Amino acid sequence: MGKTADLLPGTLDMLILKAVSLKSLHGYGVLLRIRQISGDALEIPQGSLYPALYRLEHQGLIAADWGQSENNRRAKYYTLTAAGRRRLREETAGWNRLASAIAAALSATPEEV
Amino acid sequence: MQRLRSLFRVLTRRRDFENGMSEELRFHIEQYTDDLVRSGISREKAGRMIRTELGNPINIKADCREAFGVHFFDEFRRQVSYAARLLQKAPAFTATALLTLAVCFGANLTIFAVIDSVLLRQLPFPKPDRLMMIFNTYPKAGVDRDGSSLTNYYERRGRIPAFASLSIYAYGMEIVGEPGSTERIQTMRVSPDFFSTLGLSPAIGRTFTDEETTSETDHVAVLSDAFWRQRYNADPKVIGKQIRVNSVPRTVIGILPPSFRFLSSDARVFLPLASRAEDRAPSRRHSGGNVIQMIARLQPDATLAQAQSEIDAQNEALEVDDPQAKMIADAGFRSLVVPLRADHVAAVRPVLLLLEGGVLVLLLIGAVNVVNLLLIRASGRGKELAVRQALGAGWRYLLSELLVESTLLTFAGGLLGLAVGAGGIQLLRGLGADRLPLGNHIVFDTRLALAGLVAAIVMGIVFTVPVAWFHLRRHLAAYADINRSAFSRIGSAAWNRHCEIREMQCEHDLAAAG
Repeated sequence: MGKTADLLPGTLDMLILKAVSLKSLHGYGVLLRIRQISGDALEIPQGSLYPALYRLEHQGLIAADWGQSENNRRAKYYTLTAAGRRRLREETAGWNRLASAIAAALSATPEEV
Repeated sequence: MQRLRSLFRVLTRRRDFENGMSEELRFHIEQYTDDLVRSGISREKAGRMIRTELGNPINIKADCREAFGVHFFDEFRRQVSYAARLLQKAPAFTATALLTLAVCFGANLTIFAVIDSVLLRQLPFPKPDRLMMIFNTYPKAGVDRDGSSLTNYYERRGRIPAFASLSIYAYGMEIVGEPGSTERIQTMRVSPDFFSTLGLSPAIGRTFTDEETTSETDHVAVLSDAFWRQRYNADPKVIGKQIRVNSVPRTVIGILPPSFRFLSSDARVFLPLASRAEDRAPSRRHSGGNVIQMIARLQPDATLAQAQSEIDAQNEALEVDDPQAKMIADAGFRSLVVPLRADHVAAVRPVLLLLEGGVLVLLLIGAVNVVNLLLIRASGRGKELAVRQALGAGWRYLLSELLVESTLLTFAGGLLGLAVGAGGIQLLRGLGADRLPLGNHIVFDTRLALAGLVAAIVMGIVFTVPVAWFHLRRHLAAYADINRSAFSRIGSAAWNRHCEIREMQCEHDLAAAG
């Protein structure tokens, strides 16, 4: 496993919403998917994954339903709701603004000052 | 809203929530183990790795419950059952407190039910506060209240702009039914606009017309819903049939709605208030005799004072050509306009307020007694709380526990009080409360029960204050106390163990232990 980065506070919810937006997933699947789409760079603290999923479900951003897993086990699958889709869009936009602002700030050169 | 709905869903399917959580975590662990084993790690090592990465499932579950807000309810349930156990363990205290509360709440609910139906609750008519009573008074002749006359009615009808409508009625008793199956029942004779003044229309058929107010044309009757159900089995075809009132046949023309009840009257058959032309003559203006009463409905924008001044002005104008004008004026004649409800219950109002004051004092005495019991109990529990606080229970937690305990007590007292109150109302009925004005409206309904239970909960919260304050003040002292007794227990054990050893050595031991 390559070098992994710690999650910034507040980004876990956003990543979960993103992972679930691609395809409905069970909890373990969310973990794998985030690892995969971040190119193995992000490692989710497993202890906080389920509380986060429950929080998002409680807020109505994701919906949970029991289904069959790939190996025919009963598993709880999470899908994005309309409210979740809206939230993901907002958070993505907010994150992009923040990231480009920080990138711009960090790339400033003495001449620009 | 979404959150409340989701919380409610979880609370109603609590077992599913818990099982689902366990299954989900188990699934996660098994999947992860399989993946790790497939990548060449031994099952045993995989298990260890997962335990470190995932942490304790108990903590994860607690966090999940918190995410849904269910932990609060779990805590509440735990505290309620703990409080119930504590109360069960002190049966004498619990029984005394419950009995006191039950009697106090019951007495208050009973009297409040009377106050509520007689003084507070709106009369069952649309916009009842617009309804006025008008009566003649001759105070200097010793007649405070003389009702109204037919003449008054025909002179005022449509001529007092402040009133939207005006009508008269008289109570009576009649023999109703076919020969052989008659009964004597309460009736009312009313003017055609009586029902519209009250703002009600019949459930079936019609009410009286102006043409039906002479003794030749008044052979019609309107029935109350109760009478119709009892006597005609709620048959709608009764309209147009004959009913004998005082052996004179009358045609049934209308049935009143089930909710209709005029003040304290139990009238079941309504007849037109018929009269002859000479009964309406100006010479009969002061012949009320308190038999006929007048009620009127104020125009939406009119005030009582306006109506009163219009009545006064009309009286004055009419009295000008009255041959008895001087005598009437000397008697202090006036026609007073007063709110219907206030007028109807004026006689019992002070007595009822006095009773209410009495039961409130009773409640206060009961409350003081129960607080006293709670404080006595608290003084025996100082150590328990101090120990638990020392073991890590936060003061917030202990406070909520005290709150739950005293509220549980008052709530249970309130429930018992409902039973006592319901019994109290039955007792009042037996004593003749239904002969009070509006006394037949007294009911013990859910509204009242709810008010009683809310009051019980509020009382429980209030009771917590002195108990919590007591504990807070005793807190440090109790701490010192527990330390002292713990120390002396250790000391005596040490003394027992070393009793054969010399005193000096024992002291040395204690000093070393310290």
